[in-house]
Amino acid sequence: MMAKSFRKMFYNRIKFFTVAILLLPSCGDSGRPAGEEERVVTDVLGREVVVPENIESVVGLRAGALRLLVYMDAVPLIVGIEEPEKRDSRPYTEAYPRLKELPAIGPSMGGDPEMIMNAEPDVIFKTYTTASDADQLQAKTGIPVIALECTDLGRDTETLLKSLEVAGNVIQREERADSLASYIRQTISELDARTKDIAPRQKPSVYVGGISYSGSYGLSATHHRFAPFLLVNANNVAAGIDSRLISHVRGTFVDIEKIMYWDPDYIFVDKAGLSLVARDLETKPALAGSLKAVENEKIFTLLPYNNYATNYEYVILNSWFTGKLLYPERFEDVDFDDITTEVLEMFYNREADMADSFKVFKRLSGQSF
Amino acid sequence: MRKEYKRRKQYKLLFLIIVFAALLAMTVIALATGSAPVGVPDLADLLKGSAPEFTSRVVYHVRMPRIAGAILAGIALSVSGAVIQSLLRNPLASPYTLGISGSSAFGAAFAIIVLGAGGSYTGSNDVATVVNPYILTISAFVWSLLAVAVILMLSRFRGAGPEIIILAGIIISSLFGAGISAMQYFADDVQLASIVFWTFGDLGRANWANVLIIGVTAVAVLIYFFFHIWNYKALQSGDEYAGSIGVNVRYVRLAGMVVASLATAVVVSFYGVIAFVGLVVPHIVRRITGGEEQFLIPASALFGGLFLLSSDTLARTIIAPVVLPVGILTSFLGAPLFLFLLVRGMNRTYWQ
Repeated sequence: MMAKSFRKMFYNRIKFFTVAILLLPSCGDSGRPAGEEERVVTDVLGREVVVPENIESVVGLRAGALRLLVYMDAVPLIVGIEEPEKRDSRPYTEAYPRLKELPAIGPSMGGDPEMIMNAEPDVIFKTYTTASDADQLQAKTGIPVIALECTDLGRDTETLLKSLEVAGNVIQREERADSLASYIRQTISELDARTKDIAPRQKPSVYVGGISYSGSYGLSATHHRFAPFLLVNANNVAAGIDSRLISHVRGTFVDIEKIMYWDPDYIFVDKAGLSLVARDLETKPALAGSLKAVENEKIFTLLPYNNYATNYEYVILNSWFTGKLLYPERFEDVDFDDITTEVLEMFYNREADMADSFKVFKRLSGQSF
Repeated sequence: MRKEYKRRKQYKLLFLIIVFAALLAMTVIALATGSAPVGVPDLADLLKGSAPEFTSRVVYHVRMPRIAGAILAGIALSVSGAVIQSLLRNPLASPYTLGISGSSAFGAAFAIIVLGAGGSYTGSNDVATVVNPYILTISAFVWSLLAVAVILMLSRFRGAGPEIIILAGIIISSLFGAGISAMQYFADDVQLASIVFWTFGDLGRANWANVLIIGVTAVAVLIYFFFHIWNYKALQSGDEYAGSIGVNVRYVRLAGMVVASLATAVVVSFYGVIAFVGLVVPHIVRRITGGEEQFLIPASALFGGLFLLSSDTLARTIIAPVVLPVGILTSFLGAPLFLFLLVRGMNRTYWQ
């Protein structure tokens, strides 16, 4: 036993030193000799960053960065992921399970400089950052840092599309950025065209609960500008909440009494908070009893909105689902399975492990409590 | 009698030398420890000038600023703790337990959310990004003075014993903690990412720029304290006695507290609240070498540097590759000691 583990350790050491020796010359090269071609790109924060002409390896730091890279078809370039991404189940790692085999580059929300340097990416993408923060990481690691932003669809679509464009420019996948951006724009305008002229009094009132904000919450966790509702011009009962009083990050929580007062026609429950919402309704009979949506069985689940920043493909699917449910006559021609296939292929490409991912998407059906 | 004194002095000197040697050793260990495969042989290569750029980058830009930051923050917090304990004649006092760290953290968050520091969305050569660290630190310092004012006012009441003062500190801490939570609620994503860490000190944010500022502050504060060592010593024999030998008691106490909270505020504004260092270190030093200020202050400085550097190195390796914020570790070490002191303090034999 002892001898075995010792031998194992010995081999590991040898392996380590061999790798170290093999790496040494290449490490020297990563210092980028003057001869190598470089170019200047401008990131989302307006920083001008010098990057190598050809980018062969990338990493994404903080919430949403890895997701954007996967959208950008950059899976073959990714050389490391933040450690929790290996454990947590998110649509983009489900679509490409091999991402989870990549080396860890540190904890969530920013990784660890040494581990990032160890992975030797040509460029780092970082979200939720400031110019000085990005500059500091760049100075520390000597690797160009490109800032991206993960804004919400509907609320600030353009900044998100700009992030895709910047990423596309850096990794030279401009076409991919273009086609994804035009798909998103087209989807948004189509949803809008189908729903914008519905008279306000013909619109049922809607409420969403159970949204995840760095953790799952019950029915009171909502969003006053919930993207799927915005995109189909739904009548969100929480829309009147003052924007200054809410937090997109920490979450917006309304009083249960207020939900009872609003008494929306439809209640949507984010899957992330489903069990907590179910408990809310079970343990508070007064709540369940006073909601007509519960009585009329007009309570539906939606795919998880947030999970380490927003799942944009789910936002789009949720929008189609909400639209078809609220205004069936306007979405008669829409087959939800077709839309699912289309969105999945658009965001995750054909290369993705569809069989696995479909299991995730298939669960979205109008199941009631 | 004299021989005895001399022996004790030698013993203390030996302690200083051992701590200094340990600090040097720990620095080398910390330099050779980390997630990147850069170890002692690589350090040797680096000295010979034959190391690849990767090694020099890891050592000079990642590990060295972090190590320097740990040592300097450890010095600043421990010396502040030692001086505050002497000034208030209160063994439970420290920047953390008096709420000075908490109010500094609030000040830093206040600067970001309300004054708009640190949230620059524009180009890297923006003036704001250069000025911001100072606004942050100044705001942290100004808010920390509020805690100091409350503590000093309370300590002027007769009958406000050490426990009452600490209770006030805890109340101040939770008040400012609530203030930080309230501000986090209204923060946008980027601001939130920058203030979340203040609740737990993290040396991962050390870079040469903030190390320089903390270094200058630590040295200035140390020099100031050295000049006042004899005043602090006089205070130990009571305010009346100190006054009778010509010490301006009120001024010395006020100025000492302000300087100590400056040191704390600077550390907190860059690295967040690193709990209990200012409490634990002076106590360990006192136990080993006694409480005379002329020795306590330099020994606390050295030992504080060693303590925080060791804690941080442990935090980097204990569950590698995940790096713990060092504040979590110092809390785990400090909280039990704090409880122990509280229980022990009941029979009031410790301080004398």
